[in-house]
Amino acid sequence: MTVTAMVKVIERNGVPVAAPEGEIDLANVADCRAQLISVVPNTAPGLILDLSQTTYLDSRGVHLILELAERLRTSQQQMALVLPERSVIRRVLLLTQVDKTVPLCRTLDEALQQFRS
Amino acid sequence: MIVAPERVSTKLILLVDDDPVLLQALPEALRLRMEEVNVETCDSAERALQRITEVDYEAIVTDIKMPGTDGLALLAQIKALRPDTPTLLITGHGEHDLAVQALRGGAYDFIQKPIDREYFVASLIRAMQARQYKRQLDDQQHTLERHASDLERTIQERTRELQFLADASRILTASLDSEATLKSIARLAVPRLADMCMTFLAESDGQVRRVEVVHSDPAKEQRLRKLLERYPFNAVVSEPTATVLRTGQALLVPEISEEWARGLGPHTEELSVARTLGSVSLIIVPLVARGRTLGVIAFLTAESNRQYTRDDLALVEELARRAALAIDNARLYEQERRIAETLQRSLLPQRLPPIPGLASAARYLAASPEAVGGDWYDLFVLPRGTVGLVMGDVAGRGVRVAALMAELRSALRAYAVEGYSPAEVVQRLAMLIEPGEMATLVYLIFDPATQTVRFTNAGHPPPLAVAPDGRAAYLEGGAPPLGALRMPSYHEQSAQLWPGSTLLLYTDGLIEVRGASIDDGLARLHRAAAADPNEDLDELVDRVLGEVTRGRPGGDDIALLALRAEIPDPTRFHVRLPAVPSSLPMLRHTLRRWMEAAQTNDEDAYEILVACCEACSNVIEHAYGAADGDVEVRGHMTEHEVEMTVRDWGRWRPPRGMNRGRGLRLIEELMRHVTVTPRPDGTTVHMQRTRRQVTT
Repeated sequence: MTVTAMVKVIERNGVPVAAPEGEIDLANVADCRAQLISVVPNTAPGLILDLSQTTYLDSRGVHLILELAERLRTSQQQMALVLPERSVIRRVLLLTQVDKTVPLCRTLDEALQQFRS
Repeated sequence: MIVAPERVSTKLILLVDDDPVLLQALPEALRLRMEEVNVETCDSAERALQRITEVDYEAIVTDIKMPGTDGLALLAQIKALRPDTPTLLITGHGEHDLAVQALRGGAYDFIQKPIDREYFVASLIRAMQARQYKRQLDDQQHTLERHASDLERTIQERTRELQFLADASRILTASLDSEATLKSIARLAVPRLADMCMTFLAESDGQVRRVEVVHSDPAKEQRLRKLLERYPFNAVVSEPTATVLRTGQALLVPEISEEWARGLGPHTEELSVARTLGSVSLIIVPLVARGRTLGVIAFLTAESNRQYTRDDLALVEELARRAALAIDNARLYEQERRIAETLQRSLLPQRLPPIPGLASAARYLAASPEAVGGDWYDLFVLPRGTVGLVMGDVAGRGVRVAALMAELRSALRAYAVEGYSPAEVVQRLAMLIEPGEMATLVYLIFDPATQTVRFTNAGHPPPLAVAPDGRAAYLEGGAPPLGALRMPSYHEQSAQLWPGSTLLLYTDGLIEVRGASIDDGLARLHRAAAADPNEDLDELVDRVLGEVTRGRPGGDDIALLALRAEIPDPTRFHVRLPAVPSSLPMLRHTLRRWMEAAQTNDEDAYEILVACCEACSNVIEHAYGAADGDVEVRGHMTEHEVEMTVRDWGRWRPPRGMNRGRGLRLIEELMRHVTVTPRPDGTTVHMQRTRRQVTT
């Protein structure tokens, strides 16, 4: 069965916050990508990707995050990740050096700080 | 009815006497007093008798006393020969005895000598009038008798027709197969209505097919068939049948003539064949129902020499009307049945989805091939690795029932995948039921990791759980069927199963066996399932079906669905799945369950999970191209080490796309020892690492 990725979107201080729920893999990464790209208007300062409800993420997810960051950088927009300290997916993000490209924040507030600075 | 006697027109009267004077005088006297009378005379009884045998006289007058045969003897002869001819006897003066004898002998009157001419003439006229009346009476009597017998014949004919139509109706209502119906009608028509009968059906694609050819003589029927073989009906549209088909108007030809046949045009092949068998008369009637001509029936006579009339046409048209209705019904029924069957077949899973770590089996036993029942079941994997099981039964049969099943099934899947609880799902399904509809249903979510079930039962027989050691229990609890209450309220039940339990879901057809109570059925199911709980699931469901129904199921369809979660071996792991993206979530569920059983810590578990899925993603993307193929994952866990291999049977192409290389690097980071062995028959990725010691 194919699971459609559920991406919940809210807005904080004018910044869209997208939170994919469940698992991101080869089966649904394209669907997830389409949803994430559509939530960042050109007028927004950037995107906060909240991974606290994401239970699985592999190299396809990593690639998606890096691609989004690249696109936002091109359009002069920022990006930050929210990832709780104990999240199981942290290790995958560290191993693939995602933190070198996109700031990894423990909380949403911390991520919002990134946008003020 | 009284009719005035006709004016006596030239009547023949015979006068018999041995006295030549009287023979001269009396005719003269009669001619003078009566109009249009001819009098013949004979001078002896012998000669008179001769004449009487030749001529039917209006009246006879004879003397009694004659030489040879006397008048009385002659009277007796006349009475025998011509009982209706009035006879007057002439007696001597004072011979009263003779007069009495004469009257007794059947004389109309007696005339005494000397003859009073006036009296004689008056008596003669009376006699002749009496004869006339008698004749008219007889005529009327005959007419009446003829009329009565005509009526009798008509009644018999109508009775036969009604009997025929009744026989026809019995045949027509007996079958829902239009072709069989038309064949029996042809058989019925011969020889009662025709010497030959041919029936044709117009198919939905416009083609016309000859369905049956019957002849009263079996030998001629053979010949007729042989001759007709040369003319497949739809290849040559043959007249006059084609015209009847096209116009929908019946055709009556009382006498088939050369001239009429010539007027039909060039294509009269079938008629020509019929004519070689000596056809005399024909009727062709269209089979019309709801404005459409479904076919035609041709009736022909030959040997019987019978010529069809308007009466025959009326009878045959009535027969055709009934036949058309029956065929139309049969087609509608067949159409509806096919739709319902297609719908239902499409609703039942073609095969149950293979789920690693789970065995499943299902059976569907239709009570009758004609009618499609409302039993259905479903089995699907839910997003979090749990399994949804459904068993349902919509009341009734036919298209509407199948349609409701379709609605319930898709709605249930949709709500289930959205993550609604069993009670929430069933509550929502209850909204789909329209007034007058009713459905039972049980929806279970089985979690293989915890061996628990959550379920909601809407009036369905309880699922049965059977432990590997033979303990068994019904999962009781539920609410009324969907459609039973206007504002139903459904609740969730849950149960902890014995590890490795088998779950059995079924419809009431299984436990409702004729002549036994439902409790008996439930007890039998319990016994049968518990008898050998570890047997292969396919064998188990077949055995349970046989034992519970005792080989004679009731009138209802039976659906049976079985599911069993294998108890994972904490040291070994093995699955083989289709190399498609949708296999990945299933692989993760199964791996998680195994690692949980092996008490792997969360970090290890996640890293092994990612490594295996990366390897599998690579297989899915690179090993087979557009072709189908499988991916196999094996695992071996010891206290300190974990070893995983992922293999395929394809040929890898060089990595391409934007993800190239990252997956493999990640695997290497996560697993420490990684070897990739490409071979012509497939590639194996071997991964190994030590386990972290559990710290929490």
